[in-house]
Amino acid sequence: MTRFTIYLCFLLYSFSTNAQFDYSIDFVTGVDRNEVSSGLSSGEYTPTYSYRTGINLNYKFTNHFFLKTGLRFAVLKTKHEIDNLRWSSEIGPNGWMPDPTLPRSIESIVNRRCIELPLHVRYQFGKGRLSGFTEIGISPHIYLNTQNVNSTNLETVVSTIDETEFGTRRFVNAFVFSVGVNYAITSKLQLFAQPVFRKYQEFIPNSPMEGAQTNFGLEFGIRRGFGFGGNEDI
Amino acid sequence: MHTRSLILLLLILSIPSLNAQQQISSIENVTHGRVEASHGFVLYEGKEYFIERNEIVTRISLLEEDKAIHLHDVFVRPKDGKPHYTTDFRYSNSGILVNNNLIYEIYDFNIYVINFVTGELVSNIELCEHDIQYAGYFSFFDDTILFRGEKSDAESYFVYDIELNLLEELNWTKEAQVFPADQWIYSLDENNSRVTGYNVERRSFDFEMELTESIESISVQFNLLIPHLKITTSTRELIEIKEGEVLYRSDCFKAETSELIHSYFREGIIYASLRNGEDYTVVAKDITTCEDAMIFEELEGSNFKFLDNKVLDTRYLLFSAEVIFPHDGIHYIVDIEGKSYNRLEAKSTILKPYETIVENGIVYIMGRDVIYFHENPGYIYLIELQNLTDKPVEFNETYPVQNLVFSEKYADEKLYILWGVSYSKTYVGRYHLPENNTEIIDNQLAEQNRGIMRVSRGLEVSGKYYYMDDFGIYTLSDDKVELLIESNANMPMTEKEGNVVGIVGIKGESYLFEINTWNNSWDTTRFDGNGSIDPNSRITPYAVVHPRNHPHGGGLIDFETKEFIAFRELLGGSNYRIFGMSGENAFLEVSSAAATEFIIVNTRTREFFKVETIGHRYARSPSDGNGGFYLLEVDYDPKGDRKVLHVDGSGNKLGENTILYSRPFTKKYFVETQDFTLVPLPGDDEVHLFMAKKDETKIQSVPFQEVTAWNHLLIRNDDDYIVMVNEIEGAQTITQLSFDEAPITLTELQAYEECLEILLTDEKIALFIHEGWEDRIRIEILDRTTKQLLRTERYQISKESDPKVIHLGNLNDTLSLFNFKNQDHGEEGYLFNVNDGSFSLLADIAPGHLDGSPADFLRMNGSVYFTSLTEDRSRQWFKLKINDHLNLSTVNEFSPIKIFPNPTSDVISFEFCLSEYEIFSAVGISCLRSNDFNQIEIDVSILPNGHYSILAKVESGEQVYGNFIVQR
Repeated sequence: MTRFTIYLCFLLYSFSTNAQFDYSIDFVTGVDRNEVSSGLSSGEYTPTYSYRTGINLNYKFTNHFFLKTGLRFAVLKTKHEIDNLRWSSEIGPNGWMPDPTLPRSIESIVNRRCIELPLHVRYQFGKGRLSGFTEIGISPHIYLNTQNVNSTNLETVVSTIDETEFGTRRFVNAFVFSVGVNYAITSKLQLFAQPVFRKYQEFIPNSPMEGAQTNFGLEFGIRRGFGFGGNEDI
Repeated sequence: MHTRSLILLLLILSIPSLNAQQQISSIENVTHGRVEASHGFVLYEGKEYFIERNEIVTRISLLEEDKAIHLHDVFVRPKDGKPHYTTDFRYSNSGILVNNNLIYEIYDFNIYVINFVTGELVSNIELCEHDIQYAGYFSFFDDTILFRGEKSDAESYFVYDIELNLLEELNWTKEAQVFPADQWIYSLDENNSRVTGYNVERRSFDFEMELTESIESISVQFNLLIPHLKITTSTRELIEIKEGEVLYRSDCFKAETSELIHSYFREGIIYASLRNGEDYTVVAKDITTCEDAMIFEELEGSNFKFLDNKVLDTRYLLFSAEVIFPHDGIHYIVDIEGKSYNRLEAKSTILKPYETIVENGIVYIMGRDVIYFHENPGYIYLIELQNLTDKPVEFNETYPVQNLVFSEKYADEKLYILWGVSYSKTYVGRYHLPENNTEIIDNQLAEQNRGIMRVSRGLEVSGKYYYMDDFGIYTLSDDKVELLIESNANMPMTEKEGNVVGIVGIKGESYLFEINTWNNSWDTTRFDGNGSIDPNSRITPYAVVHPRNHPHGGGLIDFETKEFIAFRELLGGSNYRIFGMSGENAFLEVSSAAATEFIIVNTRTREFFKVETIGHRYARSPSDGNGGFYLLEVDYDPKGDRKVLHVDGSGNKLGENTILYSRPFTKKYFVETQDFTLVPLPGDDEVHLFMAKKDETKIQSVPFQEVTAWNHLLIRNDDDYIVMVNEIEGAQTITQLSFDEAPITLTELQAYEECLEILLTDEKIALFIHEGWEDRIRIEILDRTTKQLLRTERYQISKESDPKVIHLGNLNDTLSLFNFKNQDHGEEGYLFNVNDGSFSLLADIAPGHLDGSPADFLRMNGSVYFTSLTEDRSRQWFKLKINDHLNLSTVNEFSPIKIFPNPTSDVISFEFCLSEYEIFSAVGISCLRSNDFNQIEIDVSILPNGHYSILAKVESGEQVYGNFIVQR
């Protein structure tokens, strides 16, 4: 949490000093594939696609270096298969009496909804209509709530747990690396697309459960530049 | 601009701090119960695997970002319901890595093959099943292992196909010479008259050749990519066999009167070095016509020898000659195609072609000159093949190179050469390939006249090279030599957990040093001893120090505290060996020319005591494995006494007992109960049972007189209750033993009767007796307290079959699993009910008369597992569910804990009592937990609907996990 406070201060600090910078705003959306491997339940998680969308703010330091921050809504999706179900109605005074009409497995989809606060450095190559770039940085995620969709061949039950149900809101960092291309429509308007790799710092923090969470995504969006410092390029 | 830079700097700094936190992780999470101290790291396809073992499980983890991600558990199969003690594969009898398979033999007489990527126990060879008592001399091919095994009658060679789980005996005796070469194994029989070739791929003997002449030499030549067998007979017939075919069988030199010194076959031509008196010549003959293929004239030198190497193009060939003056070596290069040759400028005695550097037709060869009278520099020779010329590259500023080491190290096209120089100088040199020049990287000691020094080959650890000369310990990495420790005693260093450790002398004192290879920081601790760390000793956390001319003897080094534990009272010991460590106690065997002594050391209190011994004898130490109690058989005198010692976990001697007997005791009879250690020591005419009650300071000897069949001991123990069958004058007596009480005879068997098995339950004793004359098994069930006979049942067995009743394990107080053989179903698993004496077939897994031979009883998570041979003769694991109907299913892995009901609304239950648990939400928040639970139900009614994970420990200490859904 302390580190999150430092990042927040740093973000506010950068905002307070931005009057002399050139900046641009992105509207971005993308799909990503979330992969979770748990040391205790290898193979139990199925890689699943989810999405994220939001805005970015870009600050130009030099003609090549940019600082990117923003606010995004993201869903981290994992899928589990829980089998060997024993339903309450099957358990009587003589123990377990299987009911063949009841399903024996359930597909459980967990949608962790969160806010992503990217803090990236972008290095841009070239200044033509088509330019490439690479980004590196961190993306703190703050969990909002968790939607759980449990499906059997008979029914689907959707439930949502508020993140504050058991205490403080959860926070997890991700390390981000990306490369991409910009296409300049005008000097102030760009389209961009970028494959993104995220490596989450921890799978389930503070628990003895081992695991790793990675995320491969493809983001695309549109960028609008605003100039205060005389340099109109974005 | 200043503010922008500051922000950038802050951002960049924040990223490494994130990574630094990621590195703070531990591999401790992957331990599984008590793990042997030794671990194995295996690098395979760029990934690092971490392998650890305890007595039951081999755990394989993948190392990623400093975290050990648990991949698989492979269970080594316990026998008789008890785990067999195993060791790390590196310390097993033999262990090798073949492709992605870990193959090792452990002391339960099995060879295990584990795929450490998938974690599958690919197969195992049960040596006992094949009447093999020992396996060693391993060689391996793609999927085949070759080993020599000791059978009851003789030693023989075996091949084992990992994929097919097929063991085949090659029927080659110990006396036969065996030559593994690629996909072939050749043998020369004990009479030196027949060469046999076994093709590993085809699994058949595909080659056979009679030799009519006596052998002068036979060997496998590895100078070609495909190894070949080379035979020279006494009449100078040359035979080479490659891939099961006779490459040539040449008698081109039979007519020669000259002595054949050396021969070499290349491109259809045999090159031979011949000697006729003082004349030495090289001839080249066409293999088919025996005509001269090349004429070599005006060769200088003698004893021509062809250099075996894979470097030179097949068109070129190197051979060398000995000369006395002015040089020690002459070298020639031959162009086979152009039928020409040339003498090289190279003067060195040793030409060592490097396998990896052939660039633009240039071969780089290291030379070394050993002439003492001349200040000849060391050379790298560059041979230009097309011109048959060479160009030496001289090391600058050197005196005669006396000791060249580290000459095969490449990095970034740089060839590092470490060389020591006689009399005053040592250098670390670098040869830079692109510029064809050398430069001295380090000559910090060059100007100091310190006398003759020796540079010792060091260690490569963590990508750095550590070496010693007579004046210090250095590290070499990234073109930089750093003097780490100035010392003056040059002892072998060794590696410990990624660090470099050893003992050096500094200003007349001995110091233990440990170099942290991460940052090359090091510390030294003075200790009162002198010697070197035994690189073979397990140095976690202790290492044995070999004493070297030191009156104080040797000792142990505790690497945790960096302390040296000296044994001052040990004089003249010359060979120290840790033969057992358990808990904080170490058992040392110290032998000298005069005697072998045994020392038990408490490494925490530093106390030790010496066990008086008479002669040489290995000590054996059945112990509880946790530093607790030991019963030692320690001393041996062929004419006199042997001693049994009982010591506690602090190394204190609790008691001892001396007895006259001559047979060594057998480890399989060691019995460890909660309260007792018991060792039966069979003598020639009696058996002594040494019972040591763990909370008392004495040993009780229970002699059984007139025992004639000492090898028919059958012991079953259950806490403090031990039943033993011994045989007196052909008739067996079944006896119950307990501490401080006289033995009680339960029953006496008639002649031709034999007790095959004993089952102990809380209330009953069941004796399984073979009535030899009736081909029946009689089961007598006795009350455990009153010893009264409650019931007798009889079962027929087939006449021809060996009687077999083996207790595999108890399912509960009533039911037990047995391996029982009868005429209808062969050897299969049976359930025995001790209440009614009934035997019921579990399943005819190997149908009909085929033997399933169930074994490997294992209880885990409420299920019972065992193995059985199936119809296709493969051995598979089977799971026996006790609580359900008898439900057999093949299992490949062990399931997580079952949770019911699932989904739940308020309570979840388990098959076992949980000692502690923690429930996590889908994002990892701990919702419920208890460290002292001991119940089988958890109330989860406070949890909202959703998906949860539970981590828990069951009473046995096993960690389990599961997922459940709360749904209302």
